[in-house]
Formats: sequence, C-alpha cells, structure tokens
Amino acid sequence: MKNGIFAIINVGASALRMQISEFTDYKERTLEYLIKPLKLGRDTFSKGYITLDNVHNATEILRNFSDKFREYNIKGNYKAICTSSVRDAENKHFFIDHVRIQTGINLEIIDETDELFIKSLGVRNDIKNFQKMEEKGLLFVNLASGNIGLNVIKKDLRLFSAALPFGSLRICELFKDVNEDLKYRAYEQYINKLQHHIETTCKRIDSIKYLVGSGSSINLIIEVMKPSQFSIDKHSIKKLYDKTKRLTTDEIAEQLNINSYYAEILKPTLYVYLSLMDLVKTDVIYFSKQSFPHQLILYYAKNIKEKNLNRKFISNIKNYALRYETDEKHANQVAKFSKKIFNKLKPLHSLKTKDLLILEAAALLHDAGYFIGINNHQEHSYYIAHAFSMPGFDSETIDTISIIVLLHRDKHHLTFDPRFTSLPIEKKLLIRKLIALLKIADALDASHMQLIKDIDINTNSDGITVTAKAFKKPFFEEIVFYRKNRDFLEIYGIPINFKLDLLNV
Amino acid sequence: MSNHQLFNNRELSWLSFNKRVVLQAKDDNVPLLEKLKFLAISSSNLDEFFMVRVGGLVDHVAAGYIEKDLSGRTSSQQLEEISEECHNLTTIQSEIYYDLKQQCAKDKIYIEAEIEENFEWIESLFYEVIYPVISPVTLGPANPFPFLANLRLCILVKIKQNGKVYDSLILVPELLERVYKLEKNGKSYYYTVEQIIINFLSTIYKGYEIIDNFVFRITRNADLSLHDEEVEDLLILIEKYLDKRKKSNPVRLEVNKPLPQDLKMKFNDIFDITDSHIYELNHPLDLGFLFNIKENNKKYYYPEFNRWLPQEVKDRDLFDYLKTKDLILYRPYHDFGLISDFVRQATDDPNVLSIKMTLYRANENSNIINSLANAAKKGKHVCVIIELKARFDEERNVEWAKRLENAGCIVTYGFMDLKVHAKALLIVRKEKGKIQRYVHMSTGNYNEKTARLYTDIDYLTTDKQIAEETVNLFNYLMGYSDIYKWRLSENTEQKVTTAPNSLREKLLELIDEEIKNVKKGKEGHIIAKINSLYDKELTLKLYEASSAGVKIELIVRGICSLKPQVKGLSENIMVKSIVGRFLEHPRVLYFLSSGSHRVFISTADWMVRNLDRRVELLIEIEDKKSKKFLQQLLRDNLKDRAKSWYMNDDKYFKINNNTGYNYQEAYISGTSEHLK
Repeated sequence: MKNGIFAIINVGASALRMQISEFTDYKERTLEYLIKPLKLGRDTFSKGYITLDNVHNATEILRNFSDKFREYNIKGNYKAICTSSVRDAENKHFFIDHVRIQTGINLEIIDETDELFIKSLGVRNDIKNFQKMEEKGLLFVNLASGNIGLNVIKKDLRLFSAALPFGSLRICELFKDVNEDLKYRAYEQYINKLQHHIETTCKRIDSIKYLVGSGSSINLIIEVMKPSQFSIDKHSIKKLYDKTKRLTTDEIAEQLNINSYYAEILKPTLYVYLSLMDLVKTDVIYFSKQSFPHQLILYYAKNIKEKNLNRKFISNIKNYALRYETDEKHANQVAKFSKKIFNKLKPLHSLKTKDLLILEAAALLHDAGYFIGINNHQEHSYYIAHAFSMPGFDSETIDTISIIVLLHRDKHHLTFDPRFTSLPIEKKLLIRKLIALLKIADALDASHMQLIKDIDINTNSDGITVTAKAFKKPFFEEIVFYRKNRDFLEIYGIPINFKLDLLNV
Repeated sequence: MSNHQLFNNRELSWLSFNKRVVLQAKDDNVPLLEKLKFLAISSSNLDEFFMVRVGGLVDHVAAGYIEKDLSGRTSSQQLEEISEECHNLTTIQSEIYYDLKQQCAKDKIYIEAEIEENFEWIESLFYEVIYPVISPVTLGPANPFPFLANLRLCILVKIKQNGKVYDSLILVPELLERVYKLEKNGKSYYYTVEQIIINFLSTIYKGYEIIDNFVFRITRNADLSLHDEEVEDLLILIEKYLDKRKKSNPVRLEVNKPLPQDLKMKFNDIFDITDSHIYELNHPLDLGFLFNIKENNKKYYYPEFNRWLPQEVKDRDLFDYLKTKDLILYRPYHDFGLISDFVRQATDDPNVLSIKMTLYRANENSNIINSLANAAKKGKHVCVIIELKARFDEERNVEWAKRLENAGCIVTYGFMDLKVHAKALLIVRKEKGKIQRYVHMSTGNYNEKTARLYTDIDYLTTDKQIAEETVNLFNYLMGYSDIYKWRLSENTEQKVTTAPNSLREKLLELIDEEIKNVKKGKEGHIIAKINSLYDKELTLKLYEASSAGVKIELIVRGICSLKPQVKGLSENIMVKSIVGRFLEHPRVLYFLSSGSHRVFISTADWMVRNLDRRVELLIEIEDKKSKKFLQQLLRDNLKDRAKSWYMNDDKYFKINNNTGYNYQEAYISGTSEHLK
C-alpha cells in the first residue's frame, strides 16, 4: 500500500466493525477501531433474510461510520466487506443497495474461501510458529457467528478446506426452541456431525498435530478465560463447559460477568473447540487476537501475502490430480515441456508469470478426466479442474484453467463451445495462446511413455524448431506433433517444427 | 463498632461543608464584601439543599420508605438532625450578618439602612415603582390562602378595622428588585424591598390599623426530575413509590421573627408543615440579596491578579511545543485563555482535520463555542458531545446545540442513562502526511467564567496511548462504537480509565496495591484530592488500607462519608477540607506504588453517582514534569493551614485559626515557582 489512509468496514453476523489505518512505508498504524453490536446473523440464520428493522439499524451505524470517511478524507480508499449474515440473506441485494443509497458506502460480499484465506493469512503473520505447525500438520479453524471455516494444512498441501454452517450464533438459532436445559445436548449432537463430516472427508486428519483458532469466538474465549498466553488448554475449556452447559443464558451472563450475546453462544463455541481438539488429539489450541478488520486491512492494503503461494498452488494441484489417479509421469512431463516452451518463447507470446502458472496447472490436470471415463475425457477433466479451489486464487483463474483443459484436445472445436465463445476477446486470446503451447507439450509425450527426455527450442528463419531428445525414435509423438501444431501457426503466425536428436545409449 | 457507625451521614456532612463556607465570612483576612458573598453563597446553597436533598427525604417519609442510610439513620431521623443543624446554622448566619452589617456601617455602607435618612427618595420609589405592582389579598371565606410559589417572598399583615382582625397577604412581585441602592455624599444605602413595603403598610392598608407583620417564604420540594444530579440516589430508592409522592409540597417555612402560637398553628395547617421545619429567623430572609451589595472601591474585594503562563510556552506555537512535551496548567492561577486560544488556533489551522470535545457547562459568549462553530464553517470535522442533563443549564445547552448544529458541527447528546461528566478535547492534525493527535483533558468544564473561580487541572499531551484511548472515548460518546480495546495490548495498562466501565475497579486496585505493599513490609501512601467522598465500598477499602498501615491523606472539600482518626479503624487517615477564595475542584490522586509514585487526574468524585452513573475519566500522568507539578500541588495542599479544616471522626476544626500557609494566596502571588 502506498502511503495514505485506508479503511475497512466489516458487516459481520454479530457486529459491524470499522478499522482505519495509516500506512507509511508499508508500516501499518491503526488510527481507529469501531465496533457496534448488531445481530444481523440472528435474522439471517433463523428467518433467512435481514429484517427491515435491522436493515435500518445497520444503515444507521454505517451512516455514522461514513462520517469517518469525511473526517479522514478517505473517499474511495476503503473496502466494505460483508460475511455470512449478508451473504446468506435472501434480501442481500436490497440490503446492499439500500446502504449504498443511504450512506454512499459500497458493500461487497466476500465468499467463504476468500474469507478463510484472508483470516489464515492474518493469523500466519501473527503467530510465530505458524509455519512450523504447518509443516507438521495443522487444522486452522475460523469459528465465527455464521460459519465455521476449516483448513487442514500439512507442509504445502491443503488437505481439506471448507466453510460449513456451524457458526455459533447459527447453531443457537437452529435450536432456539429447544428447552433451555436440554440445549447443550442438541448442540453436542449437531456438532458431533461436524466432527464426523471432517473425519470422513479428510482421511489424513490423523496426521494433524496442531489446532489454531480465529474468529469472533476467540474474543469470547479470551474474555471468559483470560489466558495469559496465546493458547488455551483443553482441560480448562472442558472444565468451563461442564460448569456452564446446564446453566441458562442469564445464569452464564451473571456468573461469568459477560454480555448476554456472549453468554448465549458460549456453549456451542466451547463444544466446537472441544470436539475439534478431540479430532486432532491435541490438548491445546493456539490463537491470534487479530481482528478480522485488521486482517482485511492488511490484506487489501497488500501488506500481507502468502509466501511461495505459486509453489503451493502447484503442489496442491498435483495433489488434487493424484486424487483422480491421473498419470503422474505424463502430467509432469507435459507440465515440464509446457514450461520450457513458455519460457523459451517469451518474446513471441509476451505472457505473464501468472499465465505460466495457469498453463502448468492445466498441463497437470488435462488428463484427470480419465478417472471418470475414457470417452470425452476432456469434459470430465473440465469439471474436475473446475471443482478445484484454493484460497488466494480467484475463481476466474480456475475457470481459465478448466477451459484450457476442456479444449486441449483437437476434437473439440473452439468456436462452438459456449463456455469459450462467451468469453471476452482478451480472455479468448490468452486461452488460445496457452492451448497452442499445451498441445505441443502434450504431443511430445503423446504415448505417455516419456520417450522424449528433454527438448530444445530454437528460432530460425523457417520458424521455430523443437528438438526432441530421445533414445529411440518417438513415432507417435512426431505424428501427433504435426497434427496439433496448427493452433500454434494460427495464433502466433509462425510454423513450429519437430526435429529429433537421438541420444547415445 | 457497628457497620453504621463507620460512615458519616451525607446531609450532615454537606451541612458541615456549608458551615465552613459561612465561616469564611468570619475570617479577618477576607475582604469585607467577599465576606458578604460567602454569606450569600451559603444561603443560596442552603435553599437548594432544602429543595432537593430535604425534599427527597421528605418524599421518602411520605412514601413510607424506612430503610436506613449508610450511617444507619432513617429518613425521618435524618430530617430531625438536619433541622437541628440548620437551626444552629441560621443562628450563626444571623450573628455574622449583624456583625458584617456593623462593619459595613463603619465604612459608610448601610445595609437595611434607616428609612428616615432618605425618606423622600424612598417615598418616590415606593409610589413610582413598588406600590403600583402590589396587590394585597385579605384572607377570608371568599379569599382562601393562595398558592405560594417556591421561595416567593411574602408578607403577612395583621390588620384591624372596626374591632375585627384580618390577615392580609402581600406577595412581593418578582419583577421588583430585591435591593434598592442609593449613593449619597460618599455613603451607600441599601434597602430591601420588604423593608420599604413594611414601612408603607399604613399607606397600603388605608383605614386599617396595622397590628403586626411577618415576612416569610416557603421552600418547596423541587420537581426532582429536573434536579436529578443531586438527588438521583434518593430518587432511585423510592422509584417504585413515586406515584405516592406529593409533588412540590413545602419543606421549609422561614419567617423573619418569632411567630405567635396561633399563627404558627395556622401555618402548620395551611402548609402541612411541622414546627421543626419552621425557621424563625432573626435576620432578613434569603441572604442571597447580599450578592447585590456592590461597591466600586477595590479594597472590598480580593485583589486582582495576573494569571501565569508557563515561561516555556510563552510566544510559542502550542502544536510545536506539544509534539515533544506535555503541558500541565492549574486554573485559575494559569490562564485558561491558553486553552481557548488553542481551540481557536486549531480552527484557523489548515492542517487540522477534526476537533472533538465534550461540553458539559459552558459560559455565555464562550470563545470556545465560537471557535467550534467557525471551524465547522471552514469545513473541519467538528464533533461536540453536549450533556443536556447538566443541572439548571438545560436551556442554555439547547441554545448552543442549535448554534453548533447550524454551523455544521456533528452534535450528539450523550446517553439516556449516563451523564457525560468527562472533559476532553481531541484535535486531529495532518502533519507531513501523517496523523498527529493533540489531547486536552481537564478536571473542570470548558467554561471561561468558572475557570476564574474554580481551581482545576488542564493537561495537554500528544502521548500516543492517551490519544488512542481518547479516540476510543469519543467514538463511544458519539455512539459510533462500543467500548473496545481500551488496553492496547496485554502488557500495557490503560492510561485513560472510564466510569462506569472500570474506574471504580481501578481505584480499588490502586488502593489494594498499597495494602499489598505494606503487607510485604514496604511503605504505602495515598493522597487524594477530591470534592466529595460518599461511597461505601471505597470508604471501607480505605479503612482496610489504614488498618494495614497505609498512610492516607485525603483532601476532601465537601461531603465525606469516611471518619478519620478513629482508633482501630482509621488512625492512619488524615482528612482535611480546603475552603478558600476559589472553589477547590480538581481531583488529583497519588499512590506511592513501591516508589514509582503514580499520579492521576480525574473528573470523578468518589461517589456512587460518579463512579456508577456517569461517564468519568481517570488519567494517569506519566510525564515527569507534569507528575512533579501535581505532586508539588498535593504537598502544598497538605501544607496549607490558613484555609484548611481538619476532620476528626465527624467534626471539623481549624489548627491555626485562619493563619499560616495559605496555598491559594501563595499560588496567586507566585511564590510557588513551579507555576511559572
């Protein structure tokens, strides 16, 4: 972020928050932090929409927040982000529009994956040993009012990532009509379902050693348990849970001296953590006290980034492809050749580094569809690629990868498929450029036998020559090469030729 | 010792303060007309006390409320003792009044002067001004006793015609002056309006024989909801009985001479008032009229004095100065104009983005309010929190609010259930592209008039933490945010503590720390300069500290629930009260804290209402120079003898009979170097 003042507004399920920060030489200084409780989540999670009263209440709070824009002359230098309580509300568009007309604030809805990504990024920057924990395996939990976000990470791999409707307020709303004495049992039953769900979906959960928490639930835990360190042990949580599970909300509020909202969500919050600690078989939960607006501000002001994000992306794509039993050697070979061709021909295609990442991902996934069926495998590869998600990568990138995967075969004529034809011209151009390269690379291992060990690429007056280094003549590869090189000529206007360089045994 | 004997009664303690105010009029070092003012102040203080406090207690009795107060007294017991004390007080007032009257006469200032001396002038005054607006009502079956407004001066005249005696009533019209002054031959003659009317009774009642006359007035139970600041504790107790409350019933009857038995019985009946609430005075009613005794000769008044401006800020840009140093000022010895000027400077400064402040009680034609309005007109972001519940000031407050709003300020009115008593000013400035904040916090109001009469601390700083916590405070007061993150991190202790949030806990913690230290064999020492202490929890905590061996010195101007110097309870506690030329108003606290000498300023008195039902501030002062200044201030307060009253159990006494070190005078004269 350049020097200046940046603001974040976060419309959450239990409160509206605002943070204003000043950036000087990449250093962040929090100027103001505002918080006004408003339980929008209670509306959304029980009625499905935000009541008119609360639309007005939220607007009033946001109108006050907008005073701050004037005070600091912030103008457009802000992001206003809504999470689950707006995201899941049927009248979200009305809400956003009403706020815009009344206050001038443009609210945006952040999707679950991005929310989780930004939170984990923030926590990673805040907790010292986060990376070490990641190495050994870590379950990152973001327990908020509406949803629970989960990331199971080991080394560079994201073994499991999901946002599930197990937010503390949402659980309370779900069981609001259950007898007060029995509520804790309803919560337990429901939360056990979450544990089961993770266990069945993420087989490698046993190898996870650490649990890191974030989200509004952590503020509650801190207020009640007042830990001196950035961690809490299971025993204390259990003790507190056993002490409070049969108490009514009023009794909890009185005995623990907390507000009634906190008292209400205490039981599900504690039990979710207990249940996850069981799952991970750990006796301690680590946390960061960073607030979501703070994380948002650092993220949008580009003061925090995930390190080696591209490398992690490729690792995750590889791991994902393996789930569909893809031919690993072929995939790696095509990826290798794609990269080499891309890098050698930079002056010709003038594409960006990110495009190389797209190409590499497409190379790794292009044959994943064989897992489903051999016929029309490109279609299967397409939806497998399309279903991939990783925090930090927008869905547009994933879309591009999947289109390339879909069109990597000659059979599929580009001009007819609406998934391609509906794209804007620049996008089409990018995809065609990348497909041309992928097809050449794919041809060079057409037999899936890795006959060609390596390639050289040279440019001369006749065009471009790919010299294939092999111990024996790759007949099939050469034929396929000349079948698939038409795209290259069409898009780059230069012919590309095949040459064999027989290696000595 | 029973629990109840541990505490002084609130009302008796206040009466004792008012007595100390009256006794200022007996101090030979006080100029003559200033003495009259003290007498006048004590009288109007007492009026308010009856309307509000006694009124509240009368309500208690009427509502059948029989619980005891901290001191173990029921409301009716309190009323009895108040009556006794007030009767004593009026005797003292009479004595002083006649003494001062005599002293004035020596200086040719005649109060209640002889009519004969200026008969012609008075006669024309009576005929031209007074007589036309008087309408006597002779009481009878057709004319029952009329409703008498609160504090309305009345004259009951016994008249006779044809062997029949009548009671007639003159309600002295409010549009008349209370005092008429005539200057002649270097002499000043002052006549009260009732004095003139009585002189012309035979003119008013032509054809009647005047048998007797009585000047009297009724003090009524005030409409408590309008006066809730002083009475809210009483109101809360009887909230559920409020419907039973008789509104504005009489709580006191004052008459200028003894009433004959028959008349007394009549008054008992008419006003539903018992003998103990009847005050047969020996002096004119409502000594507040003495405020009107004004002479040109300066010798009758406290000498004017030059207000100090610390050398280091003279001719310096305050923004520049504050960037590296804090500044502490002590009104009225330091010029409060510095603060008004600072706000004005901010208004004109193009780099200032915003100005935020609390306004509790401001004066008319306030420079500060003008500056705020101008700042808003210039496009600055100006936020003002106006406390509309400030007693007796509602109307004036609404007026400013409108002015400020029209100028474009964002005006908010605090909270429904919490009165904003905090005094804070925040100026946000953009300097070299960065936000820089300037904070002013004070123990007194932003009122240029009272800044000349009350002593108060002003503290200016750019301390990052204080500034950040002040930003939170304003966001809370403006309703933009809930209280959040007052502590910046786990290792930082809050510098700005607020009531009702955590101020009480903080005070208890600080006292506890001294107790802990003493128990460890270290020294423990607390000095607190406050206006009032009336709180069970804090009083008990101080007793506990005293018993543990903490040395405690309290400079409490007014009400004090704590009994010092009681064996086995409070031997280590000294309580003194300074009553002098200026009304002592700052709250300054000192804790030895194992030698780290922690010093605080605060807006909060140690009373339930302040700690639990007000937004109040407690600010730790860490700047070395400012700390030193405040410690010196406390030492000077403790050193004071001339104006200090020392308390033993529940009695106050003076050590040197008005002589010895007078800290207020020393500060005026500048013998205290640290002011300069």
